[in-house]
Amino acid sequence: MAVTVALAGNPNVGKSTVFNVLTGLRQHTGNWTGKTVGPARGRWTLEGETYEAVDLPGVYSLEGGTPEERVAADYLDANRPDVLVVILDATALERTLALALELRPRHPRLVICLNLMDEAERLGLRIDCDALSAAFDAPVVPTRADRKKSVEALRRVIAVAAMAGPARQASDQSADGAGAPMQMASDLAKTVTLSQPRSRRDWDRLLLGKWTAWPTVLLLLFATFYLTVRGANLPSALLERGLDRLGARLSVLLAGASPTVRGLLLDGIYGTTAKVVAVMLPPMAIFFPLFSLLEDLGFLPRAALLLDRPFAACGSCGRQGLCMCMGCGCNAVGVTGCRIIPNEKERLAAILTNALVPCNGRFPSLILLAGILLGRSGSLSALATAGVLTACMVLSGAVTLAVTALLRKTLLRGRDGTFILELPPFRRPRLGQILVRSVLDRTLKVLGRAVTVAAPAGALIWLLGRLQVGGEPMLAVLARGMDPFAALLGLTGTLLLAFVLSFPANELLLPLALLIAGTGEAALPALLAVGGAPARTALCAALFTMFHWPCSTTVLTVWHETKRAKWTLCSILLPTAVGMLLCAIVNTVFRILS
Amino acid sequence: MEIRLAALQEGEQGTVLRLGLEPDRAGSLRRLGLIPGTELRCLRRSPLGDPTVYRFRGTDIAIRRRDAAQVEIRKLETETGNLFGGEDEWQ
Repeated sequence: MAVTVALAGNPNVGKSTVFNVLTGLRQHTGNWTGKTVGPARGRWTLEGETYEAVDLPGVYSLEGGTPEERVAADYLDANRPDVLVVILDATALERTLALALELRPRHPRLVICLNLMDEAERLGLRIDCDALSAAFDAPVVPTRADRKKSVEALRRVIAVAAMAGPARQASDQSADGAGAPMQMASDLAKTVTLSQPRSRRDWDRLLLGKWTAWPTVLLLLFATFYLTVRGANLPSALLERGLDRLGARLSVLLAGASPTVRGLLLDGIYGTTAKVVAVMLPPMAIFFPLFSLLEDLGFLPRAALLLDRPFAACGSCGRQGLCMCMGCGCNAVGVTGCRIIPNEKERLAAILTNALVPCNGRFPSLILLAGILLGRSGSLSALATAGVLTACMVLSGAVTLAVTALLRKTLLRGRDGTFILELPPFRRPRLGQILVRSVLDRTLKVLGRAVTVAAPAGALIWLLGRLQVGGEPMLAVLARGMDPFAALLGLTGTLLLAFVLSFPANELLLPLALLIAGTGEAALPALLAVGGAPARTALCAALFTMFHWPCSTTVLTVWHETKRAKWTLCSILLPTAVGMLLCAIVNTVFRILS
Repeated sequence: MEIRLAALQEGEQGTVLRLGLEPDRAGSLRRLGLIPGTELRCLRRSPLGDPTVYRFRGTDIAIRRRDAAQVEIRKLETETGNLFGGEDEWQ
């Protein structure tokens, strides 16, 4: 039987990182509170013995009533792990010791892991590990999250602790009141700290400064988009050429097959999938690492702090801003991320509005449409593109705030939640880890999801395209049927049908529109000109790209997170209504003006 | 001098006397170590004026004005060795 090990610690002490190195798993880590929501599990073997570890959610105490605290406390009571590892932040001993002191009487085999020692050393902070070990009567292992070796030492100490058997009887006295461990922690921290740390460079002066904060945030947002767009252009083109060549090879291979099979496989499945990969992969491979970098630095909680005032005015809190940032990568991720919002109604509002933030999959369409709107077909400079995307984000932020305020006054009326947020110190990012994690965990995951959806969707749409109704392709008939309604929104039937059919994945939008129209890439301006006013159509298409129903994955995630058909339906209808309203307004204004 | 936490200005320090909040809100602050006797310093207000960042027990925590207005503290009158700028306020 495996030795069970539980990892406990405050939020934001690098617990997930230690867990990942211990178990070789890739649980996502980020430098902000509340990242780990449910307990994760993983295992490793050492000298023939199997160890199974559970990463408990980060908590400050086990006494309180938050969901995380209940999960952690229930787990420890019900499962009685063989070894309990308490992870401390060496740079914030006073705070993190309180939990260790609270856990001390509850568990006989404790291992203290003094994490972030690299950070402590850089600050010139020295800690008396022997004194700490004596105070707890438990082994203390200093670890550096960036060095695997130190975690291997932790594995060995865990092994020794597990073998020690039920030696020490856990004393049954519970802490007397919340104050006691705090005071003890404070005293103990003073005792074991041998030298005071140098003060850190105060980046908050810049990031939270009265005049510098907002420009810095906008600049960072802009820079992220610029690097993404700029860096993605060339690999995107190369990838497209490579995939085209591969397609030609496949076509030769399939020369013997019937035209229907060839068409289904090549034009339908391969063509659509290749398009999605070429358009999606490069920007994602750049955007996700950049986002992880900001996350790792500790930038996101600052952004939440900055955004709290406007969100509070709309009955929400700054944490919703974080969920929006996550939604920027993938709305499904953003919806899951809403778990960090403690107030139930605020969390629901954040879930329902998350799709109002354009995700990565919608960037390519937005960029192309913006190019047409600004009068340059296809090749907008990276700088202008980044500007367009930044503007999109600002607009989406404003719309999100307005809709959130509306929700909190109607469907989700209720008491305001509170906003208490820990601002972690800025940490030196672990670049290697960022790259590996963001490419493996996020990029490949999201890409995999898109491809699994794109392949069958490609087949389906190709088949639909072949179906004839009264001597005409069915898609054309459907598109024409949608024309009158689409015209109200300043769109064309072809575009609206493409929006409907791209429900599985937003990346499919423009490839689908071109497929329905039966034309190639170059024909996009012509496609938009159908309605007679290309600028109006492009603007409305861009607006509708930003605000319409979420993709199927996101809808499923909303269902998963709310378990209510009502809210799932709401998450579809709400952004759709917003988009239709905005498009109708723009359309009307255009018609009056011209 | 006994004041509310919200009245503490940037750079000033104080000691917590009482959390006058509703139980659940007081709970979330207590968990972070804000209990009677805790010494804290007001670091900075967010650029839009709210929330405010306080440092106590070695960590920076942002608290909204509405919650901070319910916390009673004793302000530390003389600010010696203040990290945050020179101008002491004598009032």
